[in-house]
Amino acid sequence: MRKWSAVSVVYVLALILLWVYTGRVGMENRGFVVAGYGLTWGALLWYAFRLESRGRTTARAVESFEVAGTGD
Amino acid sequence: MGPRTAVEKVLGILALLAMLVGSWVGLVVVPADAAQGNVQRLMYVHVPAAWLAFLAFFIVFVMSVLYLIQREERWDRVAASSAEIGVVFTVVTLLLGMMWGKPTWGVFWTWDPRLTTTAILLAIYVGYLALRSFADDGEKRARWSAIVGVIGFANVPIVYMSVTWWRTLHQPPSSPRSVAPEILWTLMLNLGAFTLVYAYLMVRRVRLAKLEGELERRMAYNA
Amino acid sequence: MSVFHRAWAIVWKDLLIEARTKQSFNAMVFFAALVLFIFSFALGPDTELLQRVAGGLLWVGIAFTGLLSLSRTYQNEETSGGLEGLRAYPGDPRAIYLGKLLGNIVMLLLVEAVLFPAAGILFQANLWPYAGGLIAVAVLGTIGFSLVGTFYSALTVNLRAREVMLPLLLFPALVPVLLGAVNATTLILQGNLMGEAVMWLRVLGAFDIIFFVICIWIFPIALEE
Repeated sequence: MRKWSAVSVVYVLALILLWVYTGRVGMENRGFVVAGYGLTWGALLWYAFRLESRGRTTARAVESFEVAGTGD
Repeated sequence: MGPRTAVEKVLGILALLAMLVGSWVGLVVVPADAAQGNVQRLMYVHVPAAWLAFLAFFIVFVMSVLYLIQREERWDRVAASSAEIGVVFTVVTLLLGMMWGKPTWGVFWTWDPRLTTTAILLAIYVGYLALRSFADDGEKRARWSAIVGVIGFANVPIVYMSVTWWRTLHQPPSSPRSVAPEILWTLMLNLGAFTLVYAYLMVRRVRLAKLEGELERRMAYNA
Repeated sequence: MSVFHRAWAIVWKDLLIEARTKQSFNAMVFFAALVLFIFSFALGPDTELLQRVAGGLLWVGIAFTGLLSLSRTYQNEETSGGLEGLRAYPGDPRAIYLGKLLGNIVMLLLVEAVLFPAAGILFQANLWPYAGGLIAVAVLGTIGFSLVGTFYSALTVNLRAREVMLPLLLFPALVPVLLGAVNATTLILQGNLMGEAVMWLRVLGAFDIIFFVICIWIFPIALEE
């Protein structure tokens, strides 16, 4: 969880940096360019972290059955 | 899912580094395109995303065929993983296409062959994933989605041909020869980066699939 | 008993049931006409516009009507517990596919035989000069629709939420059929009998052949227990 928050902060900072940079060099259509790259990174990062959290949830569930074993 | 394996860690770091370098080169280092301007930079992420989306679905096709022949669970796991990741890449492709389309053509969407085929591809694989979510029995789920995986992919070239006959607005695919070397290299760099990302996500997703399979087995045993 | 004999037995049985009850045929025709009617309302009374989009409207109507009939393809067997019986039947399960396929094609063609003239009236288009071409499109398009439809219908018959899953799986797969049928119909109605219209008919034909082979080949796997 902390890792995801840290990455999110870095991500937003990077986007801001990119926005400032494109403004400085006078890039036309910078909104679309920044949005595009931001979207790409955002989607991939989000999916990677979703995999992680799904993994944790599933692992916990698997463990719970092992402990239950043949009881019940 | 447990601590990441060595392979996953290495792949992950490589993928991240490659993506960082790729984006940096694409955004900062490479000069803007003479004709299209800075919007063309979106191509460095849009094209690789599209290629990987198709690669992912090709893998689904191959794994589906393998499963139908051998009926081994591992092929189904790889197929399902590739489909999920493929959907992510396809959505990214379509959105990036829109980001590029609005400033270039003035509209977010046009019915040109490649965009349309990509949208249909998305529909086919969302259907694949929906089918899996509604099938409870593991064997049936694997078998049915393998069938859909085969038919869905077999349909793609036909869809592409029909839509091409129907509309032609998308730029004619630029052959590498007519493209400046810096652009080509940046494209290749990002293609490599995206491929590493795909590989990394696949390794993790397949491991998750194995774990999910184990969970199903235990739940069935304890039921 | 050969595959074809068995298939024919299935077609005959289904059509006989249908002929006696006229259950679905009436409903299908009415539904198809209703769809056309609603489209006409939605698009407004501009006859010229309606004539231009007549091809598209017709095939959307046929697609929705076909979908209705598809979900009932195996219902006859299901309700009498017969799907198990069909499966247990010795011999080639492909006969089931062929039989159901033919049944679906015939039903849909019969509906179209009523729908096309109805469209002609609603959209004030004279269809008779183009009858030959229109029949060709109708046949090829209906075959394409039924091929994939009968197949996916079997696949989803035991699935939860199958009313949603069938169209979700079916419509992306039918894009070439829809494109081919709509474009061929529109072009034929414009009097373009040679050239482009024929090209679209070829697309339909190619699709039909390819998917006939694929579906017949894979069907036994879909029907596995």
